Amino acid sequence: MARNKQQTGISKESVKIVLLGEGRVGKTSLLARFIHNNFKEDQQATIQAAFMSRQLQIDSQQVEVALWDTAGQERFHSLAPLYYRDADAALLVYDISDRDTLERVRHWVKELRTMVGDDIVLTIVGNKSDLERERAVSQEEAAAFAQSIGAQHVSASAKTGQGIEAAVSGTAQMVLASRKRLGGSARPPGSTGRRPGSIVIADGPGTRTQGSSCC
Amino acid sequence: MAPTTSRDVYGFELNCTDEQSNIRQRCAEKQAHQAAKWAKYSEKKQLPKGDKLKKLCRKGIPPQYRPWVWMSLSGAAEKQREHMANYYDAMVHMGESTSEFAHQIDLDLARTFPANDYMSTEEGQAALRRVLLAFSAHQTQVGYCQSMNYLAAMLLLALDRSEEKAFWVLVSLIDDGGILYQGMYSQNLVGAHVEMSSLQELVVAKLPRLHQHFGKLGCDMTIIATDWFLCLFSTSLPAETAMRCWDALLSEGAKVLYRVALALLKTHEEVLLAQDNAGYVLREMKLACAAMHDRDALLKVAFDGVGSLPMARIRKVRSEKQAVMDVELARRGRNKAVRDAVRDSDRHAPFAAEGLSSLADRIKNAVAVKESRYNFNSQPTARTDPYTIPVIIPRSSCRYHDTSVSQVPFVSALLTPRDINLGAGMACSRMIALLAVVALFASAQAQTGTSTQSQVINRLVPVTARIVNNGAGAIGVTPASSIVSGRKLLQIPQPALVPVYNAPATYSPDFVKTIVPVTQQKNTMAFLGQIKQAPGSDLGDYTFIFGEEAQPFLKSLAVSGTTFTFLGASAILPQDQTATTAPNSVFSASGFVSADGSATTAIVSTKTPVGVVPNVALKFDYSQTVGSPLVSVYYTDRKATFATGGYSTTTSNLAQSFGIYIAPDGTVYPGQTATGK
Repeated sequence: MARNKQQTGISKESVKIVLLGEGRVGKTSLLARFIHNNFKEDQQATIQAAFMSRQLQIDSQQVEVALWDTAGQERFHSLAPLYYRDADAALLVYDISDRDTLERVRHWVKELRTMVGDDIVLTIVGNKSDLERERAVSQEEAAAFAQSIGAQHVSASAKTGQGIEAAVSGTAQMVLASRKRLGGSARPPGSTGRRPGSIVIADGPGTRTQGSSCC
Repeated sequence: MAPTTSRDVYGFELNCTDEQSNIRQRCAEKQAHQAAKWAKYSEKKQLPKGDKLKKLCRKGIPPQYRPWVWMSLSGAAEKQREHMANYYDAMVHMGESTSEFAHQIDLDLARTFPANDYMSTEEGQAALRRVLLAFSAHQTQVGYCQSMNYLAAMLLLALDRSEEKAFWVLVSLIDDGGILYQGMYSQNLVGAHVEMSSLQELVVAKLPRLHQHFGKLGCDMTIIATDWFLCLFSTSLPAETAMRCWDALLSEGAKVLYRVALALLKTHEEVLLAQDNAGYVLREMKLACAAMHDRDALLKVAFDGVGSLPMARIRKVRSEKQAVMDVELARRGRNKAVRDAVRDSDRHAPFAAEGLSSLADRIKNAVAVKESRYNFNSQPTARTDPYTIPVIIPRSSCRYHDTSVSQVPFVSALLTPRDINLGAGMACSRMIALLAVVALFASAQAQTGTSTQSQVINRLVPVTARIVNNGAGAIGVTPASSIVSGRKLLQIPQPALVPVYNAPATYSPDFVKTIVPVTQQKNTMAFLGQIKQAPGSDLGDYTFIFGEEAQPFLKSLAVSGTTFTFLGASAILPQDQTATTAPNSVFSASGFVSADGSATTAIVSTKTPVGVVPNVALKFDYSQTVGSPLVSVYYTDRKATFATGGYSTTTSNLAQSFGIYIAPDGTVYPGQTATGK
């Protein structure tokens, strides 16, 4: 789904972004804010991944941002590869008031780097920045971590709306830039690179089945 | 037409268009009609029997009768009777005081149907909390999995807010042998994965156009239907429609989920076909489900519109998918053991600097040497001597890569995983053992001349393995016999079992296992093995886990007391054989361990077409974990090809193991040099 040719013949870019992170960090709320510009204090827990898309104007170009929301609970981890496999980018969301959720982000970084590679653009999003008083993860620490893995870090709040546009459009921008660098050859459209019906179980972070070199 | 807001019978908000309101009205009238039929049964509190009950349930149980009908239908009432009277209270108490899931449950309370009248109240959330805690105490294996919150909440709503009833119906849904497939909510959601791939399989047959379209989009059933099966439609369909599905589900079982899923797909097939990516498919499907107020229509399609769907068929598909899953899980389990081991071991002992890449280099070199020596494409050479390879693997480097050696990529690139088995693992806290098995390529023809009627096509490699309790493990391997296959049976003299090295006295072995292939005929292969287990050993009963190399040969091998069995049947596909002529081979084995533990006999039978004898070598790898050795099975006849009217062999792969010795500090030495260490 890298790009669609519209009937006008103008090529339209499309960027696929997957949201990953521990349960209850606010992935669904971030999406609701980004797509519908609304916020609910109690958002239903996500079981089934959801898909949403929105048009963005980036560098005078129309870009369709396709966002995949995923279930956060550890047990649903085995479903994640379905969504991140052919993603251009991932928003790795943590809750600034909960240290453990940043740990989970570290795991995701490891897994994505191992399973998908270095091409996937990563953005680390510290959600619930409105809860400044309960902050448990310092901005500096998170930013340093992001820098160490070549990701950008964005502070955001689904409640106030802060930072979300920046996170998504910044991420999309980086995807477009890296596409340009690679000569515009994006991943094959919509491919998941596997037979339908086959079962995918991801191992925990840091393992890979046979793949490209790592040593 | 602007939708108007109202509430349904369970306190969910509805935003219905006029048309949808009319549909709901029509369904309500039918429901009232059905209610008259249920009234007489309700009076006597006696359900009708057999087909009559099934039909009534398919047409919907009026909400007012659901509490007692569901209790009875689902087997919940019976379960409740089987337990002590205050079981639910006891479980609530236990869950409140001990459940490790309490935190997760608490987090989800406010996130369970937050817009529902009852579930948004403190009272409703407290009830939900107790039901979930009780369940997590009742089924500690399952504990709490997100999506169970929706089930429990729906049950509370449907069963007069009775916690106890909700609990028991939940139990009868999820317990082993319950209504839903096993392992639906387990770690990894194994059961759900099986259900998803089974559904996929049924879509192939029932909705081929959709299947093809989804295939093109890379749209997996899991993307669309996970919550259908985990939340039983409660988060996707309007509550009143979902509850209609539950009426049938509780009466007929999990196949109803398949029927409803197929009905939803079928009803919206055209819309789905018009979508050109997986995201849009998911979005359309969700919208369509949320608007599915016509419960009568949906259930009609489910039961009359998707054709026959016998339970036997679902069972068959499930068992196939489960088998695939099991292999995958075994692999996963092994990888996890390695990771844990590496993590664990690091805390105990520092390691030498030589890295995993060094191991990789050594193996690569060894493979390169062998390839030059045994170029199986052109000039194969006979080879009889055992082959060893020096391997030194410090754990620190393993940790760096955090990767199992079985996945060293370039080795896999050179040879198939079946040909090369690098099993990595560890035993108890102090030990990491690593076993490398590299395939040798040798030509059958080079060894035996050109006869196609009786050829040595491979060897089976018996394995001697030693494990010592202080944490050091050692594995010695030697080729001990050759097996002849073909139409004419040749008996190869049985060489004595010679371990590659002797375990040093300081590591007196308390576990020795050998398996020696004795004879192989067309359909039978006999192994004579030996299991010795020292008194006081902590190995106990164990279950063998087969590595992925074993697929599709074996699924599991259970050892219990003095008997053991292999389970599994599969297609055996020599490499060049096409699927259409593939023979199905059933592979099974049984045996017993003598009472004093001195000898084990196993008979392995294979049912295959004449002329095809799958040759396998078994390797027992105790390096995995003490107590659950890894058994690898090699195809040793993978190169066999078929010619019309007969059977000829071009090349064979010889699986061979390397003897290595693992010192207490974790360094792995080649077998020979380890002696006396």
